[in-house]
Amino acid sequence: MTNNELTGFAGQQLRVNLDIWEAFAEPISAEMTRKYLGGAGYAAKLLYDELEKDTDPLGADNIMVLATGPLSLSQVPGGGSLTLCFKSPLTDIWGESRVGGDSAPELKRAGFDYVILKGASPEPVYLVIQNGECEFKKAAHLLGMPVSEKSAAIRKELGDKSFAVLCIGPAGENRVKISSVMSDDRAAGRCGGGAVWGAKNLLAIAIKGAKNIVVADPDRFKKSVKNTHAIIKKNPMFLGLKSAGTIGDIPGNDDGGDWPTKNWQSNSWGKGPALYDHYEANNFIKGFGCYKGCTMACARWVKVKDGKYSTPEHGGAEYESISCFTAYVMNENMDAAVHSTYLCNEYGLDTISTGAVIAFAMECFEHALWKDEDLQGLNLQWGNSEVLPVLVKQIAYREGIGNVLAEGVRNAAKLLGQGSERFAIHVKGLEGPAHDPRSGKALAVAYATGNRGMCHIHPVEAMAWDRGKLDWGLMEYGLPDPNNVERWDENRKGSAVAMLQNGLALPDIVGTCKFYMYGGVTIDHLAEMISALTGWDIDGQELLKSSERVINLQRLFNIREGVTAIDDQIPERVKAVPGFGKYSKEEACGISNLKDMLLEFYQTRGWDPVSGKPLQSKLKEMDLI
Amino acid sequence: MKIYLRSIADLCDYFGKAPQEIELEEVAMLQDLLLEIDRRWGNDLPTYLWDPAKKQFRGSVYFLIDKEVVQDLRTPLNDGLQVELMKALVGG
Repeated sequence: MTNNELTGFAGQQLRVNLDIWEAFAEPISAEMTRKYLGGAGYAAKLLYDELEKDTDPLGADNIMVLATGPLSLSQVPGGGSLTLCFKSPLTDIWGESRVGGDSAPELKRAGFDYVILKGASPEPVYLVIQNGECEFKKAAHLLGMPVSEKSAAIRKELGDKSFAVLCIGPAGENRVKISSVMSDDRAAGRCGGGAVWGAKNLLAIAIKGAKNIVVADPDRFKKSVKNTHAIIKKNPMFLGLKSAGTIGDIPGNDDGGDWPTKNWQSNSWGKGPALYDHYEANNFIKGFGCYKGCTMACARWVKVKDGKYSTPEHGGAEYESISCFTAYVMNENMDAAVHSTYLCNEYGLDTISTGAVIAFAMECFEHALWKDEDLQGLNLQWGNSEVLPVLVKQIAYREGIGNVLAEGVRNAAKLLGQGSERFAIHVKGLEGPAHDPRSGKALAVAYATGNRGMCHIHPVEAMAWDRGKLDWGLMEYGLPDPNNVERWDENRKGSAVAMLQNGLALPDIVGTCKFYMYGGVTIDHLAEMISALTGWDIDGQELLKSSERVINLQRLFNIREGVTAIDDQIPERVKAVPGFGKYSKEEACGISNLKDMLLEFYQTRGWDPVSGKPLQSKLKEMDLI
Repeated sequence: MKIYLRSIADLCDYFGKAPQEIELEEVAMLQDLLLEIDRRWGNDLPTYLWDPAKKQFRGSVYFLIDKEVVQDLRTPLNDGLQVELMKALVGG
């Protein structure tokens, strides 16, 4: 049964009870849709209402929502975007992870805006969602397969290579808390979604559909999509991502102090240009789009031709992944980094968290915190490239010290003890990505207050505004002109971050790739496309208000799980003047007064600075009570 | 003629925050601006940004005129024009 009040949506959500292999379709809520739009917004409402406090993230009661947004359509700029929302086993709070590829557009074509997974299957299973139906298939024979093999096996069984396949690798099966859900070589990497699937005995979901979404005003929609495509083609960010991929920023970020190095002991290394040159000459093959219709094509097809790190051609070598396997661990061998990140994808591991826990392990090794019997002869010296693929495998299979590292850096430090907490770089349990707030202070507030922790998606706009001077068309809605902001200043950063979060949470709510916003898609473009698609008369202001509502609701989810303002902190090391590198003598680079920046943030947000809770007045304003 | 080169974000570290006044021939194209950049800043720019042999920028550095990227080096320049120089942030 479809919700006929809504145009521009598939109109149904698929509820899956894995306990008893039962699935049924129900209409999506028109009221929730208008209020929360879709994606991570609709999912936030659903999880807030249906999950109880202290639910075991790896228990059958945890719910995962696979969420499209209204604009998750392949013709929309950035429309190949699916968001997975759940309670994270890594952080025990709001978990959210976004993946590219064709799964979101295919899900809509299959007749569903959302899939709501609950329960745990008594045996390994995979789902086939096709044209309004959901079939359960036994999957014991797929256990242990790496991601590419598993995806290929499923497509072969179904006799159709055109299925979009989401699956976990061995790491998810082993409930590794930093495991991902993969869409071929794209990853919903962060927060341990792979472990949630593993705990549910769910190995994969194959999706295919043939229905078209009904558009309220087809001519207006076509025109708005065409106009948006035309505008972004002339945008430097769009062209930059197309020509260089995300990895193209390594030399500049190293030079600019935005490249966490040696487990965040510094924000620059000086080796970035040489590493990038090696990649460009030896590893890069071509760029490609991760979903049908992508014109940006920022993804990279790469390889390691020969030698001990020989790696087949694959989609990979992303900025975050490579940074975490080079600068984080002082590895100067690009081939080893490409190989190790390829292994992460095959095992279904988050490349960011995996690189981060390895950096943590290396620092603990430097301080002789590991026992010899734990190490089993491993040499975890900084920069030892040979140990990287070994550790990746150990983490995926929970072997040796990999069993400790598989818990994520916060839990690993608790298990190892001996003061190792000071080497565990995370916020709220999520390991830090490859952007450094010492290159732009707004990022410190964004890391401290991001609902899923120290992530690379929601906070990074703070760095891009502060240091990169991007504004995403938000200046007309009150964002200060970035060209009037000094990146090392701490004044006025707190209030700006609230606006940046509201604006840049939107792609994961409306179902688009955030890079397209970096490439020139503004809030107003999104509003115009959604209005034409749905027949709603929605503008940028309403989008921003919906986004703010979603951020507050996710905050309420976290508050219910015990988060307070005390948790809105970043590690001391990340605030300190770098210990070495280009900025080691630059006192202004250190973060001296995060407290005041946070107070300004809370005031702008309407949150209590002690409890961290949204004030009643804010909840009323957001129509959340 | 005079044109003004305004750099954005990190490039200010090399070209300065204020727009730089650049004297060119009466008839000049973007290519001529590159030659002038090489003459004035070529030796100071890091090699990840500037290829001294080819006398051109490396990576995702773009000229913008009226907020739009201009890639054709034969694009004519006019007296008093402001050309912006920007390195795209592309990291994920």
